[in-house]
Amino acid sequence: MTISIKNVSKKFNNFSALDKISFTIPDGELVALLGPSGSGKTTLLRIIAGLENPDEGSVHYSDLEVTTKSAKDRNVGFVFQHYALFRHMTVFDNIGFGLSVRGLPKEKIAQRVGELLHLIRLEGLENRYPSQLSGGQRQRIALARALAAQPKVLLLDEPFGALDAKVRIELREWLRRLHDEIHVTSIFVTHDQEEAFAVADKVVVMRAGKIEQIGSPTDVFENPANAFVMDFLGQVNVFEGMLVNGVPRITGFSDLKGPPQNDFCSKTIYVRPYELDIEVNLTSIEALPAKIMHINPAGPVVRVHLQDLNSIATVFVEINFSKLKELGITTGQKVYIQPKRLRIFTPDYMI
Amino acid sequence: MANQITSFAAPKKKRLEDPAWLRYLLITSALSVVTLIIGIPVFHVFYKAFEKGTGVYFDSLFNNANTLHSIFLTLSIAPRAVFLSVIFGLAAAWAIARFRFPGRAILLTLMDLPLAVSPVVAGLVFVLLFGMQGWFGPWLASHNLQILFSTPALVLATCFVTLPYVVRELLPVLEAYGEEEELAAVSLGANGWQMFWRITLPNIRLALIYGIILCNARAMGEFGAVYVVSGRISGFNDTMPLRIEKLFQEYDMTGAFALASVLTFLALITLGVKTYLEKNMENRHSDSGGTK
Repeated sequence: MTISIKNVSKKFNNFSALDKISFTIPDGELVALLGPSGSGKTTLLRIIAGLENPDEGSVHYSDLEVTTKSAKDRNVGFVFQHYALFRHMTVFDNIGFGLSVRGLPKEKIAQRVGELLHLIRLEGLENRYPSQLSGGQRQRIALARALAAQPKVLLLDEPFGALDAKVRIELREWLRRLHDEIHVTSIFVTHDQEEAFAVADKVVVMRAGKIEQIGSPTDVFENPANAFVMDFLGQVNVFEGMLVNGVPRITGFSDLKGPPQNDFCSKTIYVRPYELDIEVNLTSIEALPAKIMHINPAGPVVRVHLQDLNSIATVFVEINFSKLKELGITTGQKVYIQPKRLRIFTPDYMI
Repeated sequence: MANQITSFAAPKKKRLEDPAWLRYLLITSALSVVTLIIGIPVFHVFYKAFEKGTGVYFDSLFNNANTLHSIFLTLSIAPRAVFLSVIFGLAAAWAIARFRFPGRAILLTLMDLPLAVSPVVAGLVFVLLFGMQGWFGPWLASHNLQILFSTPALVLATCFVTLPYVVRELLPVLEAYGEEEELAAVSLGANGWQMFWRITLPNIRLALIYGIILCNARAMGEFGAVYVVSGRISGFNDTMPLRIEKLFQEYDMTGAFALASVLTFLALITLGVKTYLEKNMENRHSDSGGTK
């Protein structure tokens, strides 16, 4: 089922949590609402679920407007950050709750709960209480409970936030596979860009109640719409520079020694750590002299910390392990940083 | 290194424990105060009641129509007052815990008024409201409705003094549980009643029972407010505490103490139920706690 949000605004006292948000989620997609805390992503999710009312705007499920419908009538599955399992009920009764309030016969409920327990691979735990389960098990029960009544939409609020790192990665891969099996339109909230990229078909990046960018993970990561998205989605190096004939140049390139001649065209330039190369000898005018401060060879990607000898700023570079061997560089050595790609955004955001 | 640790730990342990003489002094004084001002008087009530033998005891209880009536009256007023207090207490505690509205702080403060104000004053308020010189008195009289000096006034006055107990018990529990489970129930398609009966009530059940017990104890023992509104007609609207006072004033010591022993016995039953539930509550907490 397609979900459309049209011009939704929400204020808490004088704080604007959502400011004229509009977007559409196509049927069957798994979408991540990604943003720092306070960006309004949870509020948006609760408005979609009907647990919160928007001050302005409307929510549509397919062609049906549901803005004024209560959560009870929307048939959504909502997974809470802290699971919100009914602590006085067994796993069986928790999962079956949505069916039993709809007055389904006992045999039907038992059959559906059995199916779901199989789906989440927790058969045999139906008589346990939530307090007797691990965090990962509780999260899966919460998911099964939300799926029991075959909701048209599945909404998850920071679903893996309260779990430890290993379980989190296992569960998010499991969620991805589960979504491939059942294809219910799903939206999940997260502040972890890695999680969003690992699971989602589409990422909605939010900041301060507004949408900054919508796109596939690759799209958003490769072509960030602005400096905020660039910074939020991963580590980034920031250089002072300028536009020369429409081409970005970093102050410190050999053709641009000294301070910029014209302040009006001074620009901030953004480069990802993997978009920088290290050369032992100066081979191009597009290179910065730098000193190696630290080499962190943990894993196939080596992280090198350098000091830009012009601006004294720290620069992070990621290179392959084989490249490191080839270069044979050591800490303290003077090298040249050569960017493969430079990005400039209109200066609406300061890092 | 190990030596250092033990030499550190030894004096620390000693400092944590109070000296023996202080412990025994505190324990002895606490015990003697309880014995002196609670234990002996309670024992004395039963002693006095049975002083002239069980025959006289039962005779003064069951062969006195007015005394018998007072027992029935108290046992019928208390449940009604408790019922009203529970309905009101649930609604008020729910509203205060779940909603933010103008006047919330005032409601919270007013809720404690019955604990602070003297019950006699409460009784007087009802007399002023429903008496012939009061606001509603003439209207009630013209419609042939009797409130003052009859059972409705007794229930109302009892209600006034018992109102805070249920709210005070429920509020912290409602706030501690939070509303997430309730929201989860709604998102799963439960309507208001289903949410209340299947999620909220099971979570607050023990606090509610505890509130009812306190409420009931207070309702059975209420004297001041009831004294003012009852009119004190023997065999008609004397509750147990009022009857005891009357018997005492009439120098019927055996009758007064016999009835007092019944009232005390009811209080002891209440305490027993409370203790039993407290034990059960602990057990439940240990196997259902730590959900988050």
